[in-house]
Amino acid sequence: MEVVAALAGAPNVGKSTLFNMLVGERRHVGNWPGKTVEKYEGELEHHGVKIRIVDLPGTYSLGAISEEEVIAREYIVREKPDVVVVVVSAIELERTLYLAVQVLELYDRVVVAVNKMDAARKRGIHINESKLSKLLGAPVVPISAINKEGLHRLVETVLDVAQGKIHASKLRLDYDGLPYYARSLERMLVGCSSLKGYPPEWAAMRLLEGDPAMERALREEGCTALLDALEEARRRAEKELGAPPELIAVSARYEFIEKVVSSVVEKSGVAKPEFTESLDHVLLHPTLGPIVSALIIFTMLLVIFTINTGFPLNILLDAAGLHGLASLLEESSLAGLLGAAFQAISDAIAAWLASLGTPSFIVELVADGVVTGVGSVLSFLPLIFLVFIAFSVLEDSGIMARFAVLGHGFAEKIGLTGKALLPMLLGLGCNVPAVLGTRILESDEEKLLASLLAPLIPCQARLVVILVFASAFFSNPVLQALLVASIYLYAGLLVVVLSLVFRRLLLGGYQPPEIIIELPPYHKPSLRVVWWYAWDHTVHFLKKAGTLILVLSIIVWLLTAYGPAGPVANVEESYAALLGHLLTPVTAAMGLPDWRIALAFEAGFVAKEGLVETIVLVTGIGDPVSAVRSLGLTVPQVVSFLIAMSTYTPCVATLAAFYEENRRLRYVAFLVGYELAVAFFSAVLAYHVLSIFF
Amino acid sequence: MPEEYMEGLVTLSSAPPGSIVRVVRVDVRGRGPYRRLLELGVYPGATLRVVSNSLGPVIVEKNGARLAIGRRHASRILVEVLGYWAK
Ligand SMILES: Nc1nc2c(ncn2[C@@H]2O[C@H](COP(=O)(O)OP(=O)(O)OP(=O)(O)O)[C@@H](O)[C@H]2O)c(=O)[nH]1
Ligand SMILES: [Mg+2]
Repeated sequence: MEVVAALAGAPNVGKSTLFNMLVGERRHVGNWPGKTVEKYEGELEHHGVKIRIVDLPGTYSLGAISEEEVIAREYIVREKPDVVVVVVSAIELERTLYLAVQVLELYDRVVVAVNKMDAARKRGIHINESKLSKLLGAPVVPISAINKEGLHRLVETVLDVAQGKIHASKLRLDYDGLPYYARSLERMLVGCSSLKGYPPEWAAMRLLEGDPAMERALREEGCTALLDALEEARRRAEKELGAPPELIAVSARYEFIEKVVSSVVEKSGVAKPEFTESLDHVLLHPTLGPIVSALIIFTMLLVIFTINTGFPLNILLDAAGLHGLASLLEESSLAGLLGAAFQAISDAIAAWLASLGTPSFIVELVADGVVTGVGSVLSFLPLIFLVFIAFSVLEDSGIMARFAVLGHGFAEKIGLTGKALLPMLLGLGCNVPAVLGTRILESDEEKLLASLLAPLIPCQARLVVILVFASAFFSNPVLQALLVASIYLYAGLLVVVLSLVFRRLLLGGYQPPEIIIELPPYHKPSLRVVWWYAWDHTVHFLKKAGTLILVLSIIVWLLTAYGPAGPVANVEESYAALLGHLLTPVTAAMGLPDWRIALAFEAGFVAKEGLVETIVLVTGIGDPVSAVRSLGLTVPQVVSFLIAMSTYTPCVATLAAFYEENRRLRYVAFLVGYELAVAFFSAVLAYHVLSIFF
Repeated sequence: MPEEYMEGLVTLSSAPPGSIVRVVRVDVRGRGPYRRLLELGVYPGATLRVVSNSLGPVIVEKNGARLAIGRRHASRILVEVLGYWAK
């Protein structure tokens, strides 16, 4: 027999931690059908019984205000899992019990897991579990998911409920006159098939409270009689009871919860000045807060950059005269290690195939084309993974929510909410997690807006290109820094201006909503949780986008390796070069008539690192800086090139991420189209304006 | 009549930091935000502590759980100041 158990709970109660602790490696990440909300499923076995566990999205209520709430509710009502495990948090019992109460009103096969018992003990919070169980009418199991405490008993209890050995009963609250109005609706519900499956009594109460998803279903079905009766009932209830039905319902639930909490929770010991209290003093301070936040993000990006490519630490070491250490760092950075590994694999395969007498064009196709393609898929991963780690650390520690609050005032000015700020800032590391990170945003408009703007932010790959050009053409470090800074400033300016344009023209004057954000208690990020998050998201992305990146890289390689006359020894005779020549009229308008630069732009479509690699290839000069210098560009040309390079199109990986989040090819086409246009006109303008001075 | 002038009552957006307040009315516009606030524990009769009121959003605490409420919303929540929180 198989038992299906769903995990429900408010955001941040530790559902995902519990899920991972229960199923370990036997888990699967996907999406809820037709949604960008993630769906986690996994399996475990207990005394020969297979238990399938589904992690429902975290929601504050079952009230269908958000997509997540609809998913969680529909799952319980339609799929009827054998058991619903409602997870609540021992340190925020009151707020997290709200969802538990709603689930208990809807469903009777429920187990309540009180998580974070470890943190509760530290704070001197005691919870009387048997009293809680009696008051809720459902079995209660205290656990500490992160320490794997209480999990055995939880699983046993789940099985007991599934097998009918323990009965929970539905919770009935006193709604103070509301049921009177609900009853008349209940009778009419029988005639409306779209709400079949919901317990009628529950559905009637929900309708009375106001439930956009249910009302939509009724309207689509044409159940207008019920909708009319509903409006009348709501109006009458509000008038006769003196408050809107939703207010009466929520108050009744909280009244019950407060009673429960006050009778089961006991606090002992002296209340220590809490960590959250003191850290919030700093992070939410109007002047200190932004400074500290900027420092945190800046440090994280530096660490990510250094682990990924050795930069900027290698330059500092070089400057300090420690050349050996600097190159060691570069070689042992993730990008360095991957590059070396792929070179070795490619050489080994080539030698092996050649020894078998394979025709040379096949050897090249496999050793260069395919291996290079796989290499370029993998070359994205370290940066994506590292940025996901940063994301996860900031989220898990509770810092992310503070950033959102702190940055909201600023974000509002560019048409976003504070929540969008962190994904955008992490775009400075890599655009892929930035675009994928927009899924935490609440409205579709904001997701679209943020994911259209995020690719404008120069990522590390683009920073490297900028630095190579800066050091090739400017010897004065002040001028170098000025050049780099102005490219970033320009990107920032574009974000601000284009946000305004898109909101006007695309989103019908969309304004960001006001925020209501829960600030979870701070907490030391758990290595395990951070690792899962980053690993799952990276693998998920690889599965979705890997093939696309692979195919496109191989196509680009084919274009450079073949020409009208077949395989070419020299890129200059390749299709890519031909295409480059065709493109020169366009690049010439930006002041860049050299066909090799047009060629480099082609390669940069796959990955921005490819720009410099291509220049190395066509000039035949091994050192990137010297290779770029040999192009002999003037100041206006350098600036024009860099502006175009940093905006002209997102790389394939970012496009794949964008498609993953928005699921519409015409949006992808719009993204590429607008960026090409912006890059072109910006570069033309920059070139001509600067040509006046230089 | 404008709630701002009701005696002894202030909007949450003008409640001083450190004060303990009781929610009297929630008049927030929009069904979604209104419901969300109620469900997160900001309903008439609830007691909150104002943690900070110098950023854009107002930060309140209820039984150990903290919540940031946008300023426009906060200016439509009417509260009664009960006292001040002593450290
Ligand atoms: N002290 C303590 N913290 C825990 C425990 N379990 C989880 N946490 C922490 O609680 C936070 C939230 O954990 P998640 O597992 O992501 O919570 P969730 O319910 O899946 O959250 P959403 O997916 O946002 O709904 C993380 O910072 C965890 O490390 C626990 O047993 N004790
Ligand atoms: Mg989760």
